Amino acid sequence: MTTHLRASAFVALLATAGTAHAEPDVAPTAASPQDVSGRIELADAAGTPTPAGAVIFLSARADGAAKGPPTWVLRMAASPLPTDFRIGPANAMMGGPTPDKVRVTARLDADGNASTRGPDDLEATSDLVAPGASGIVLRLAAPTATAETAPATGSEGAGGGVTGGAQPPPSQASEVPEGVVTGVDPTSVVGPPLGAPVEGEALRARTMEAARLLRCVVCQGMSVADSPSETARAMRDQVEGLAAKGYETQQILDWFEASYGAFVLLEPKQEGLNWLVWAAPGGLLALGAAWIVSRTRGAGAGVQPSGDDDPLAPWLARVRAETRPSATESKESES
Amino acid sequence: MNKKVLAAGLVIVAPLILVLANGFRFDPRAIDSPLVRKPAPAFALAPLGGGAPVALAGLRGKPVVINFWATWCVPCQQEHGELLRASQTWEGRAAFLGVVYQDEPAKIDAWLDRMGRSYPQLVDTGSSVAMAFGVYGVPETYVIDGAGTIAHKYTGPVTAGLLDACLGAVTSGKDAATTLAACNGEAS
Repeated sequence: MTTHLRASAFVALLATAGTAHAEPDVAPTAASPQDVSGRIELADAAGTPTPAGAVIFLSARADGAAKGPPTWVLRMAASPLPTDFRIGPANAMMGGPTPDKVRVTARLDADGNASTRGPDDLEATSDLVAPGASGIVLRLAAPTATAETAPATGSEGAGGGVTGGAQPPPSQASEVPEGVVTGVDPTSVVGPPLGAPVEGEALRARTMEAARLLRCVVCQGMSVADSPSETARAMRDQVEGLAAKGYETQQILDWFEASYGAFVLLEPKQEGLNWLVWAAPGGLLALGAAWIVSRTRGAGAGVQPSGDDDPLAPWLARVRAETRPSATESKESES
Repeated sequence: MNKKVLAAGLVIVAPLILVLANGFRFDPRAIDSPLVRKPAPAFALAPLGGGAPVALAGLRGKPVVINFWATWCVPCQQEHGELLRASQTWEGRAAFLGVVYQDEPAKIDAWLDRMGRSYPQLVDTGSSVAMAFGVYGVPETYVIDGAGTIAHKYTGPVTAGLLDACLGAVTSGKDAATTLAACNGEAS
Protein backbone atom coordinates (compact mmCIF):
# COMPACT_ATOMS: atom_id res chain seq x y z
CA MET A 1 0.00 0.00 0.00
CA THR A 2 1.31 3.40 -0.81
CA THR A 3 2.04 6.13 1.67
CA HIS A 4 -0.69 8.18 0.03
CA LEU A 5 -3.27 5.54 0.77
CA ARG A 6 -1.91 4.93 4.22
CA ALA A 7 -2.15 8.62 4.95
CA SER A 8 -5.75 8.62 3.80
CA ALA A 9 -6.38 5.55 5.90
CA PHE A 10 -4.86 7.35 8.87
CA VAL A 11 -7.29 10.23 8.52
CA ALA A 12 -10.16 7.82 7.94
CA LEU A 13 -9.20 5.82 10.99
CA LEU A 14 -9.01 8.92 13.12
CA ALA A 15 -12.43 9.90 11.85
CA THR A 16 -13.89 6.51 12.70
CA ALA A 17 -12.07 6.53 16.01
CA GLY A 18 -13.90 9.74 16.71
CA THR A 19 -17.28 8.31 15.86
CA ALA A 20 -16.68 5.11 17.73
CA HIS A 21 -15.47 6.76 20.88
CA ALA A 22 -17.40 9.97 21.10
CA GLU A 23 -18.28 10.30 24.72
CA PRO A 24 -15.65 9.12 27.17
CA ASP A 25 -12.42 11.01 27.75
CA VAL A 26 -10.49 7.84 27.32
CA ALA A 27 -11.77 5.45 24.71
CA PRO A 28 -12.93 2.19 26.23
CA THR A 29 -10.54 -0.03 24.34
CA ALA A 30 -9.57 -3.40 25.66
CA ALA A 31 -6.74 -2.91 28.11
CA SER A 32 -3.51 -4.69 27.25
CA PRO A 33 -0.32 -5.08 29.28
CA GLN A 34 1.40 -3.35 26.38
CA ASP A 35 -0.71 -0.20 26.70
CA VAL A 36 1.11 3.05 27.29
CA SER A 37 -0.75 5.31 29.68
CA GLY A 38 -0.41 8.58 31.48
CA ARG A 39 -1.86 12.06 31.67
CA ILE A 40 -2.20 14.91 29.18
CA GLU A 41 -2.12 18.42 30.58
CA LEU A 42 -1.59 21.94 29.36
CA ALA A 43 1.87 23.39 29.88
CA ASP A 44 0.26 26.79 30.38
CA ALA A 45 -3.12 25.91 31.85
CA ALA A 46 -4.05 29.45 32.81
CA GLY A 47 -3.21 31.09 29.50
CA THR A 48 -4.52 28.54 27.04
CA PRO A 49 -8.27 28.05 26.96
CA THR A 50 -9.32 24.83 25.24
CA PRO A 51 -11.36 25.77 22.17
CA ALA A 52 -14.85 24.32 21.85
CA GLY A 53 -14.87 21.31 19.53
CA ALA A 54 -11.19 20.66 20.07
CA VAL A 55 -10.04 17.08 20.24
CA ILE A 56 -6.79 15.38 21.11
CA PHE A 57 -5.16 13.18 18.50
CA LEU A 58 -2.90 10.74 20.21
CA SER A 59 -0.42 8.74 18.17
CA ALA A 60 2.42 6.38 18.96
CA ARG A 61 5.27 5.73 16.57
CA ALA A 62 7.95 3.09 16.62
CA ASP A 63 11.50 4.13 17.40
CA GLY A 64 13.00 5.77 14.33
CA ALA A 65 9.72 5.92 12.40
CA ALA A 66 9.43 9.65 11.97
CA LYS A 67 7.51 9.37 8.74
CA GLY A 68 4.56 7.35 7.61
CA PRO A 69 1.49 6.44 9.57
CA PRO A 70 1.80 5.93 13.30
CA THR A 71 1.60 2.51 14.89
CA TRP A 72 -1.29 3.41 17.19
CA VAL A 73 -3.77 6.25 16.85
CA LEU A 74 -6.52 7.45 19.13
CA ARG A 75 -8.90 10.39 19.06
CA MET A 76 -10.02 11.71 22.45
CA ALA A 77 -12.24 14.44 23.75
CA ALA A 78 -10.10 17.44 24.68
CA SER A 79 -11.98 18.60 27.71
CA PRO A 80 -11.62 18.64 30.56
CA LEU A 81 -7.85 18.86 30.76
CA PRO A 82 -5.82 17.37 32.30
CA THR A 83 -7.07 13.98 31.20
CA ASP A 84 -5.75 10.46 31.45
CA PHE A 85 -4.84 8.50 28.36
CA ARG A 86 -4.23 4.92 27.44
CA ILE A 87 -3.10 3.83 23.99
CA GLY A 88 -1.97 0.42 22.86
CA PRO A 89 -2.37 -2.47 20.43
CA ALA A 90 -6.15 -2.03 20.48
CA ASN A 91 -5.56 1.29 18.68
CA ALA A 92 -3.29 -0.25 16.07
CA MET A 93 -3.65 1.35 12.69
CA MET A 94 -2.29 -1.30 10.40
CA GLY A 95 -1.82 -4.33 12.63
CA GLY A 96 1.59 -5.96 12.87
CA PRO A 97 3.87 -6.59 15.81
CA THR A 98 4.12 -4.18 18.73
CA PRO A 99 7.37 -2.18 18.45
CA ASP A 100 10.04 -2.41 21.14
CA LYS A 101 9.91 1.32 21.84
CA VAL A 102 7.36 3.97 20.95
CA ARG A 103 7.17 7.72 21.13
CA VAL A 104 3.72 9.06 22.03
CA THR A 105 2.53 12.37 20.60
CA ALA A 106 -0.56 14.25 21.73
CA ARG A 107 -1.89 17.05 19.58
CA LEU A 108 -4.68 19.31 20.77
CA ASP A 109 -6.47 19.94 17.48
CA ALA A 110 -8.50 23.14 17.63
CA ASP A 111 -10.83 22.22 14.75
CA GLY A 112 -11.19 18.53 15.45
CA ASN A 113 -10.03 17.52 11.96
CA ALA A 114 -7.05 15.19 11.86
CA SER A 115 -6.15 16.24 8.36
CA THR A 116 -5.66 19.89 9.17
CA ARG A 117 -3.19 21.48 11.48
CA GLY A 118 -3.83 24.94 12.79
CA PRO A 119 -1.16 27.30 14.00
CA ASP A 120 -2.68 27.17 17.47
CA ASP A 121 -2.61 23.40 17.83
CA LEU A 122 -0.64 22.43 20.89
CA GLU A 123 1.56 19.38 20.97
CA ALA A 124 3.61 17.22 23.24
CA THR A 125 5.76 14.22 22.45
CA SER A 126 7.07 11.74 24.95
CA ASP A 127 10.52 10.25 25.01
CA LEU A 128 10.88 6.72 23.75
CA VAL A 129 9.05 4.38 26.06
CA ALA A 130 8.61 0.65 26.08
CA PRO A 131 5.11 -0.77 25.62
CA GLY A 132 3.49 -1.07 29.02
CA ALA A 133 4.88 2.24 30.29
CA SER A 134 2.59 4.24 32.51
CA GLY A 135 2.61 7.54 34.34
CA ILE A 136 3.74 9.45 31.26
CA VAL A 137 2.90 13.15 31.43
CA LEU A 138 2.44 14.98 28.14
CA ARG A 139 2.44 18.75 28.56
CA LEU A 140 0.79 20.40 25.58
CA ALA A 141 2.59 23.46 24.28
CA ALA A 142 2.95 25.34 21.00
CA PRO A 143 5.04 23.16 18.67
CA THR A 144 7.52 25.93 17.93
CA ALA A 145 8.21 26.21 21.63
CA THR A 146 9.74 23.27 23.41
CA ALA A 147 7.42 20.33 23.18
CA GLU A 148 8.07 19.52 26.76
CA THR A 149 7.83 16.08 28.14
CA ALA A 150 7.65 15.88 31.86
CA PRO A 151 9.55 13.14 33.56
CA ALA A 152 7.46 10.13 34.31
CA THR A 153 5.89 10.26 37.69
CA GLY A 154 5.76 6.54 38.09
CA SER A 155 7.43 4.10 35.78
CA GLU A 156 5.80 0.80 36.21
CA GLY A 157 4.47 -1.98 34.14
CA ALA A 158 6.29 -4.45 31.96
CA GLY A 159 9.52 -2.82 30.94
CA GLY A 160 7.78 0.51 31.26
CA GLY A 161 8.93 3.95 32.05
CA VAL A 162 10.39 6.84 30.23
CA THR A 163 13.82 6.15 28.90
CA GLY A 164 16.29 8.74 27.77
CA GLY A 165 16.04 12.41 28.55
CA ALA A 166 16.69 14.07 25.21
CA GLN A 167 13.87 16.18 23.86
CA PRO A 168 12.86 15.58 20.27
CA PRO A 169 13.94 18.41 18.00
CA PRO A 170 11.13 20.83 17.09
CA SER A 171 10.97 19.50 13.53
CA GLN A 172 10.29 16.06 14.87
CA ALA A 173 7.76 17.39 17.33
CA SER A 174 5.76 18.78 14.43
CA GLU A 175 6.44 15.78 12.22
CA VAL A 176 3.33 14.46 10.59
CA PRO A 177 2.50 11.58 8.32
CA GLU A 178 3.49 12.54 4.81
CA GLY A 179 0.78 14.47 3.06
CA VAL A 180 -1.65 14.38 5.95
CA VAL A 181 -1.44 18.07 6.73
CA THR A 182 -3.91 19.41 4.24
CA GLY A 183 -4.73 22.60 5.99
CA VAL A 184 -7.31 24.71 4.29
CA ASP A 185 -8.99 26.95 6.78
CA PRO A 186 -12.70 27.08 5.94
CA THR A 187 -13.37 29.83 8.46
CA SER A 188 -11.62 32.32 6.18
CA VAL A 189 -14.22 31.55 3.51
CA VAL A 190 -17.49 30.77 5.27
CA GLY A 191 -16.78 31.79 8.84
CA PRO A 192 -17.04 29.55 11.87
CA PRO A 193 -19.38 26.55 11.87
CA LEU A 194 -22.97 27.53 12.65
CA GLY A 195 -23.78 24.18 14.18
CA ALA A 196 -22.23 21.78 16.62
CA PRO A 197 -19.86 19.06 15.37
CA VAL A 198 -21.80 16.01 14.21
CA GLU A 199 -20.84 12.38 13.84
CA GLY A 200 -22.31 8.98 13.16
CA GLU A 201 -25.70 8.89 11.46
CA ALA A 202 -26.19 12.67 11.63
CA LEU A 203 -22.85 13.19 9.91
CA ARG A 204 -23.73 10.72 7.19
CA ALA A 205 -27.12 12.38 6.65
CA ARG A 206 -25.66 15.88 6.39
CA THR A 207 -22.89 14.68 4.10
CA MET A 208 -25.40 13.07 1.74
CA GLU A 209 -27.71 16.08 1.87
CA ALA A 210 -24.94 18.44 0.77
CA ALA A 211 -23.38 15.93 -1.66
CA ARG A 212 -26.69 15.60 -3.52
CA LEU A 213 -26.75 19.36 -4.06
CA LEU A 214 -23.18 19.59 -5.36
CA ARG A 215 -22.09 18.92 -8.92
CA CYS A 216 -19.14 16.61 -9.46
CA VAL A 217 -16.94 19.09 -11.31
CA VAL A 218 -15.41 16.55 -13.68
CA CYS A 219 -18.59 14.61 -14.45
CA GLN A 220 -21.42 15.17 -16.89
CA GLY A 221 -24.26 16.48 -14.77
CA MET A 222 -23.79 14.05 -11.89
CA SER A 223 -23.99 14.94 -8.25
CA VAL A 224 -21.13 14.40 -5.84
CA ALA A 225 -23.35 11.84 -4.09
CA ASP A 226 -23.92 9.80 -7.26
CA SER A 227 -20.59 9.90 -9.07
CA PRO A 228 -18.05 7.12 -8.50
CA SER A 229 -15.15 9.28 -9.74
CA GLU A 230 -12.06 10.00 -7.67
CA THR A 231 -12.84 13.71 -7.72
CA ALA A 232 -16.38 13.15 -6.44
CA ARG A 233 -15.00 10.93 -3.70
CA ALA A 234 -12.59 13.68 -2.68
CA MET A 235 -15.43 16.19 -2.72
CA ARG A 236 -17.56 13.89 -0.56
CA ASP A 237 -14.68 13.57 1.91
CA GLN A 238 -14.37 17.34 2.00
CA VAL A 239 -18.12 17.69 2.58
CA GLU A 240 -17.88 15.15 5.38
CA GLY A 241 -14.91 16.96 6.92
CA LEU A 242 -16.79 20.24 6.94
CA ALA A 243 -20.00 18.65 8.22
CA ALA A 244 -18.10 16.91 11.02
CA LYS A 245 -16.86 20.28 12.23
CA GLY A 246 -20.42 21.54 12.46
CA TYR A 247 -20.73 23.42 9.18
CA GLU A 248 -24.35 23.61 8.05
CA THR A 249 -25.33 22.38 4.60
CA GLN A 250 -25.63 25.93 3.27
CA GLN A 251 -22.15 26.79 4.56
CA ILE A 252 -20.74 23.71 2.85
CA LEU A 253 -22.39 24.72 -0.44
CA ASP A 254 -21.03 28.25 0.04
CA TRP A 255 -17.53 26.87 0.58
CA PHE A 256 -17.60 25.06 -2.74
CA GLU A 257 -19.30 27.96 -4.49
CA ALA A 258 -16.51 30.30 -3.34
CA SER A 259 -13.96 28.30 -5.33
CA TYR A 260 -16.00 26.84 -8.20
CA GLY A 261 -18.72 29.45 -8.62
CA ALA A 262 -22.44 28.77 -9.00
CA PHE A 263 -21.58 26.04 -11.53
CA VAL A 264 -20.94 23.63 -8.67
CA LEU A 265 -24.48 24.01 -7.34
CA LEU A 266 -26.92 21.51 -8.82
CA GLU A 267 -29.84 23.65 -7.71
CA PRO A 268 -29.43 27.18 -9.05
CA LYS A 269 -29.83 29.87 -6.42
CA GLN A 270 -33.26 31.51 -6.36
CA GLU A 271 -32.15 34.92 -7.52
CA GLY A 272 -32.05 37.08 -10.65
CA LEU A 273 -32.39 35.26 -13.96
CA ASN A 274 -32.29 31.95 -12.11
CA TRP A 275 -35.93 32.57 -11.21
CA LEU A 276 -36.73 31.69 -14.83
CA VAL A 277 -35.39 28.20 -14.22
CA TRP A 278 -37.47 27.80 -11.12
CA ALA A 279 -40.65 29.40 -12.50
CA ALA A 280 -40.57 28.09 -16.08
CA PRO A 281 -41.65 24.47 -15.44
CA GLY A 282 -44.65 25.50 -13.31
CA GLY A 283 -45.52 28.34 -15.65
CA LEU A 284 -45.38 26.16 -18.74
CA LEU A 285 -47.44 23.49 -16.99
CA ALA A 286 -50.08 26.06 -16.11
CA LEU A 287 -50.09 27.39 -19.69
CA GLY A 288 -50.46 23.88 -21.06
CA ALA A 289 -53.30 23.10 -18.68
CA ALA A 290 -55.07 26.31 -19.63
CA TRP A 291 -54.69 25.48 -23.31
CA ILE A 292 -56.08 21.96 -22.86
CA VAL A 293 -59.03 23.29 -20.88
CA SER A 294 -59.83 25.88 -23.53
CA ARG A 295 -59.60 23.26 -26.28
CA THR A 296 -61.87 20.75 -24.57
CA ARG A 297 -64.46 23.43 -23.90
CA GLY A 298 -64.30 24.43 -27.57
CA ALA A 299 -64.56 20.80 -28.66
CA GLY A 300 -67.53 20.27 -26.33
CA ALA A 301 -69.37 23.06 -28.17
CA GLY A 302 -68.36 21.59 -31.50
CA VAL A 303 -70.08 18.19 -31.07
CA GLN A 304 -73.44 19.81 -31.78
CA PRO A 305 -74.80 19.07 -35.23
CA SER A 306 -73.33 21.39 -37.80
CA GLY A 307 -75.40 24.40 -38.61
CA ASP A 308 -75.84 26.00 -41.98
CA ASP A 309 -72.97 28.33 -41.30
CA ASP A 310 -70.55 25.40 -41.18
CA PRO A 311 -68.50 25.52 -44.37
CA LEU A 312 -68.23 21.75 -44.33
CA ALA A 313 -72.03 21.25 -44.14
CA PRO A 314 -72.66 20.77 -47.91
CA TRP A 315 -69.85 18.27 -48.18
CA LEU A 316 -71.02 16.40 -45.12
CA ALA A 317 -74.53 16.21 -46.55
CA ARG A 318 -73.22 14.90 -49.86
CA VAL A 319 -71.12 12.20 -48.21
CA ARG A 320 -74.09 11.10 -46.14
CA ALA A 321 -76.29 10.99 -49.21
CA GLU A 322 -73.80 8.96 -51.19
CA THR A 323 -73.07 6.46 -48.52
CA ARG A 324 -76.72 5.88 -47.54
CA PRO A 325 -77.95 2.66 -49.25
CA SER A 326 -80.66 3.66 -51.76
CA ALA A 327 -83.88 1.69 -52.44
CA THR A 328 -82.80 0.62 -55.92
CA GLU A 329 -79.44 -0.62 -54.71
CA SER A 330 -81.08 -2.76 -52.07
CA LYS A 331 -83.43 -4.28 -54.60
CA GLU A 332 -80.54 -5.14 -56.90
CA SER A 333 -78.76 -6.83 -54.13
CA GLU A 334 -81.84 -8.92 -53.27
CA SER A 335 -82.20 -10.16 -56.83
CA MET B 1 -54.40 24.98 -38.20
CA ASN B 2 -51.08 23.48 -39.34
CA LYS B 3 -49.48 26.88 -39.31
CA LYS B 4 -50.62 27.36 -35.73
CA VAL B 5 -49.04 24.05 -34.65
CA LEU B 6 -45.85 24.93 -36.47
CA ALA B 7 -45.71 28.36 -34.85
CA ALA B 8 -46.36 26.92 -31.40
CA GLY B 9 -43.66 24.29 -31.95
CA LEU B 10 -41.19 26.90 -33.05
CA VAL B 11 -41.94 29.09 -30.05
CA ILE B 12 -41.18 26.18 -27.74
CA VAL B 13 -38.28 24.54 -29.56
CA ALA B 14 -36.39 27.55 -30.93
CA PRO B 15 -35.32 28.95 -27.54
CA LEU B 16 -34.18 25.49 -26.47
CA ILE B 17 -32.09 25.11 -29.60
CA LEU B 18 -30.62 28.56 -29.05
CA VAL B 19 -29.73 27.76 -25.42
CA LEU B 20 -28.13 24.44 -26.35
CA ALA B 21 -26.27 25.93 -29.31
CA ASN B 22 -24.97 28.66 -27.04
CA GLY B 23 -23.71 25.98 -24.66
CA PHE B 24 -21.43 24.57 -27.35
CA ARG B 25 -19.52 27.83 -27.36
CA PHE B 26 -18.25 27.23 -23.83
CA ASP B 27 -15.65 24.85 -22.54
CA PRO B 28 -16.79 23.83 -19.06
CA ARG B 29 -13.16 23.96 -17.91
CA ALA B 30 -12.83 27.50 -19.16
CA ILE B 31 -15.30 28.90 -16.64
CA ASP B 32 -13.76 31.99 -15.13
CA SER B 33 -12.49 31.27 -11.65
CA PRO B 34 -14.47 33.21 -9.06
CA LEU B 35 -11.24 33.41 -7.09
CA VAL B 36 -9.37 35.66 -9.54
CA ARG B 37 -8.78 39.05 -7.89
CA LYS B 38 -9.81 37.53 -4.56
CA PRO B 39 -7.54 36.46 -1.70
CA ALA B 40 -5.98 33.07 -2.27
CA PRO B 41 -7.26 30.38 0.12
CA ALA B 42 -4.89 30.02 3.06
CA PHE B 43 -3.35 26.58 3.34
CA ALA B 44 -0.41 24.66 4.71
CA LEU B 45 0.80 21.42 3.17
CA ALA B 46 3.60 19.03 3.99
CA PRO B 47 6.29 18.88 1.32
CA LEU B 48 7.09 15.66 -0.47
CA GLY B 49 9.47 13.63 1.65
CA GLY B 50 8.30 15.17 4.92
CA GLY B 51 9.46 18.21 6.79
CA ALA B 52 7.79 21.32 8.09
CA PRO B 53 4.52 22.19 6.36
CA VAL B 54 4.73 25.03 3.84
CA ALA B 55 2.13 27.70 4.49
CA LEU B 56 1.04 30.09 1.76
CA ALA B 57 0.77 32.88 4.33
CA GLY B 58 4.48 32.51 5.03
CA LEU B 59 5.30 33.53 1.45
CA ARG B 60 3.64 36.94 1.59
CA GLY B 61 5.57 39.83 0.12
CA LYS B 62 6.48 38.29 -3.21
CA PRO B 63 4.42 36.64 -5.92
CA VAL B 64 3.72 32.95 -5.69
CA VAL B 65 3.13 30.58 -8.58
CA ILE B 66 1.18 27.49 -7.57
CA ASN B 67 1.11 24.69 -10.11
CA PHE B 68 -1.35 21.83 -9.61
CA TRP B 69 -0.12 18.75 -11.41
CA ALA B 70 0.06 14.96 -11.34
CA THR B 71 2.37 12.28 -12.70
CA TRP B 72 -0.46 10.75 -14.72
CA CYS B 73 -1.08 14.01 -16.58
CA VAL B 74 0.58 14.28 -19.99
CA PRO B 75 0.38 18.09 -20.38
CA CYS B 76 2.07 18.36 -16.97
CA GLN B 77 5.14 16.71 -18.50
CA GLN B 78 5.10 19.26 -21.29
CA GLU B 79 5.00 22.23 -18.97
CA HIS B 80 7.35 20.96 -16.25
CA GLY B 81 10.49 22.15 -18.05
CA GLU B 82 8.87 25.55 -18.58
CA LEU B 83 8.07 25.84 -14.90
CA LEU B 84 11.62 24.85 -13.94
CA ARG B 85 12.95 27.50 -16.28
CA ALA B 86 10.61 30.18 -14.96
CA SER B 87 11.39 29.28 -11.35
CA GLN B 88 15.10 29.71 -12.07
CA THR B 89 14.54 33.01 -13.84
CA TRP B 90 12.51 34.32 -10.92
CA GLU B 91 14.60 32.79 -8.15
CA GLY B 92 14.49 35.06 -5.11
CA ARG B 93 11.85 37.32 -6.64
CA ALA B 94 8.94 34.88 -6.76
CA ALA B 95 8.12 31.62 -5.00
CA PHE B 96 7.10 28.54 -6.95
CA LEU B 97 5.12 25.71 -5.39
CA GLY B 98 3.98 22.47 -6.93
CA VAL B 99 0.85 20.89 -5.48
CA VAL B 100 0.50 17.26 -6.50
CA TYR B 101 -3.06 16.24 -7.18
CA GLN B 102 -4.49 12.74 -6.70
CA ASP B 103 -1.16 11.00 -6.79
CA GLU B 104 1.19 8.82 -4.78
CA PRO B 105 4.47 10.00 -3.21
CA ALA B 106 6.51 7.10 -4.63
CA LYS B 107 5.38 7.87 -8.16
CA ILE B 108 5.93 11.60 -7.65
CA ASP B 109 9.50 10.98 -6.49
CA ALA B 110 10.27 8.81 -9.48
CA TRP B 111 8.68 11.33 -11.85
CA LEU B 112 10.66 14.24 -10.39
CA ASP B 113 13.87 12.22 -10.55
CA ARG B 114 13.22 11.80 -14.24
CA MET B 115 11.90 15.28 -15.05
CA GLY B 116 13.95 17.46 -12.68
CA ARG B 117 13.39 19.28 -9.42
CA SER B 118 13.64 22.90 -8.49
CA TYR B 119 10.95 24.16 -6.15
CA PRO B 120 9.00 22.55 -3.25
CA GLN B 121 6.41 19.96 -4.17
CA LEU B 122 3.51 19.65 -1.75
CA VAL B 123 1.28 16.63 -1.40
CA ASP B 124 -2.41 17.47 -1.35
CA THR B 125 -3.85 14.39 0.28
CA GLY B 126 -7.61 14.48 0.01
CA SER B 127 -7.39 17.25 -2.63
CA SER B 128 -8.72 19.79 -0.15
CA VAL B 129 -6.32 22.51 -1.32
CA ALA B 130 -7.17 21.78 -4.95
CA MET B 131 -10.85 22.12 -4.08
CA ALA B 132 -10.25 25.36 -2.21
CA PHE B 133 -8.62 26.72 -5.37
CA GLY B 134 -11.43 25.43 -7.58
CA VAL B 135 -9.22 23.05 -9.52
CA TYR B 136 -11.12 21.08 -12.20
CA GLY B 137 -8.20 19.08 -13.49
CA VAL B 138 -4.48 19.28 -14.01
CA PRO B 139 -2.48 21.15 -14.94
CA GLU B 140 -3.79 24.39 -13.52
CA THR B 141 -1.52 27.21 -12.42
CA TYR B 142 -2.31 30.18 -10.22
CA VAL B 143 -0.30 33.38 -10.02
CA ILE B 144 -0.71 35.11 -6.67
CA ASP B 145 0.58 38.60 -6.04
CA GLY B 146 2.65 39.68 -3.05
CA ALA B 147 -0.48 40.69 -1.15
CA GLY B 148 -1.94 37.20 -1.42
CA THR B 149 -4.49 37.99 -4.14
CA ILE B 150 -4.95 35.64 -7.06
CA ALA B 151 -3.90 37.57 -10.14
CA HIS B 152 -4.44 34.92 -12.77
CA LYS B 153 -5.41 31.31 -13.34
CA TYR B 154 -4.07 29.16 -16.16
CA THR B 155 -5.99 26.11 -17.25
CA GLY B 156 -3.74 23.76 -19.19
CA PRO B 157 0.01 23.89 -19.70
CA VAL B 158 1.84 27.18 -19.19
CA THR B 159 5.03 28.40 -20.77
CA ALA B 160 7.99 30.20 -19.23
CA GLY B 161 7.24 33.14 -21.49
CA LEU B 162 3.68 33.48 -20.22
CA LEU B 163 4.80 33.26 -16.60
CA ASP B 164 7.57 35.80 -17.21
CA ALA B 165 5.09 38.26 -18.65
CA CYS B 166 2.52 37.60 -15.94
CA LEU B 167 4.98 37.85 -13.04
CA GLY B 168 6.45 40.95 -14.62
CA ALA B 169 3.04 42.63 -14.67
CA VAL B 170 2.21 41.44 -11.15
CA THR B 171 5.48 42.67 -9.65
CA SER B 172 5.32 46.03 -11.39
CA GLY B 173 1.85 46.67 -9.98
CA LYS B 174 0.06 47.02 -13.31
CA ASP B 175 -3.71 47.46 -13.29
CA ALA B 176 -5.97 44.43 -13.55
CA ALA B 177 -6.66 44.78 -17.28
CA THR B 178 -2.98 45.15 -18.17
CA THR B 179 -2.06 42.25 -15.90
CA LEU B 180 -4.72 40.07 -17.50
CA ALA B 181 -3.46 40.92 -20.98
CA ALA B 182 0.14 40.25 -19.96
CA CYS B 183 -0.75 36.93 -18.31
CA ASN B 184 -2.62 35.89 -21.45
CA GLY B 185 0.42 36.69 -23.54
CA GLU B 186 -1.22 39.62 -25.28
CA ALA B 187 1.09 42.51 -26.05
CA SER B 188 0.11 45.53 -24.03
